[in-house]
Amino acid sequence: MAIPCQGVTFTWGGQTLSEVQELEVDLQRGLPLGRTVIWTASPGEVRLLGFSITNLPGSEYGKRKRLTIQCMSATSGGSLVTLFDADCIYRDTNTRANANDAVRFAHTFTVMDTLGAPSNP
Amino acid sequence: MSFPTPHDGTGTILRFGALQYTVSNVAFAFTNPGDAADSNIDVGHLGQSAGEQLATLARPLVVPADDGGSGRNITFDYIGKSILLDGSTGTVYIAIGGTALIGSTAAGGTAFFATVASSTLTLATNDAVRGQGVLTLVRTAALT
Repeated sequence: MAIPCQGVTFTWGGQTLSEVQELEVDLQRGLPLGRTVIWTASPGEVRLLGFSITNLPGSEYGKRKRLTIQCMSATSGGSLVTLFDADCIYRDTNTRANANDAVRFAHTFTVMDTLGAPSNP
Repeated sequence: MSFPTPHDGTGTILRFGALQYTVSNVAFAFTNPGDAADSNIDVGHLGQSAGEQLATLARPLVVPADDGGSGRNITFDYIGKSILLDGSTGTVYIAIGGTALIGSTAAGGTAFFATVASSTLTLATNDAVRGQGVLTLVRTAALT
């Protein structure tokens, strides 16, 4: 069954990130523990693609803050459900401008600590 | 059962450049995609609620209505052995029963210039020589 994905809110260190059009969450990317490899902790990364330039000023670059993604639940009386909640480092911004189109910004966050939240994927 | 066709295309003439073609079918795509609603930029985002109107942004650049990129074109079938030269440009005039649909012949009128986008000529046994042309409207100019 397809899951609609509207009414999603994003906060980064308490600040709202608006006009996010696409969200990609990629978790648990670490190498497996084995005899011939070194364990590499890489909990994953989150990538937001949107339109607002005011979302993340350059001064936020490299900072570690709490990224929370929530949406309104359709089955729990409209209460907020946390989809993702983790400490992340704001790592990268990619800006794309095409003629006769809107400017699009992509922000990438490296997940540092998933905080053991049961709701995290 | 037959139905009357009070507005059929009988009496239609089509001129391209200096030649008038014996046309059997004319399709005139007059919409300008630059003006169409789907030319808006989709800026819908995840923060919008389900059921809400999709957020859009008008494209900053507008495609001129008579520019070659506007998508306005004329496709016509004709009987005859004239070959439409690829890329040639000329004025196009279409009239139905003496009333101009596009183009003008009178001074002060608006001439529509079109370029041949593609053409085919079909020669078949036991049939007339038939051709088809696709013209793209590229610009307008006032007739003097």
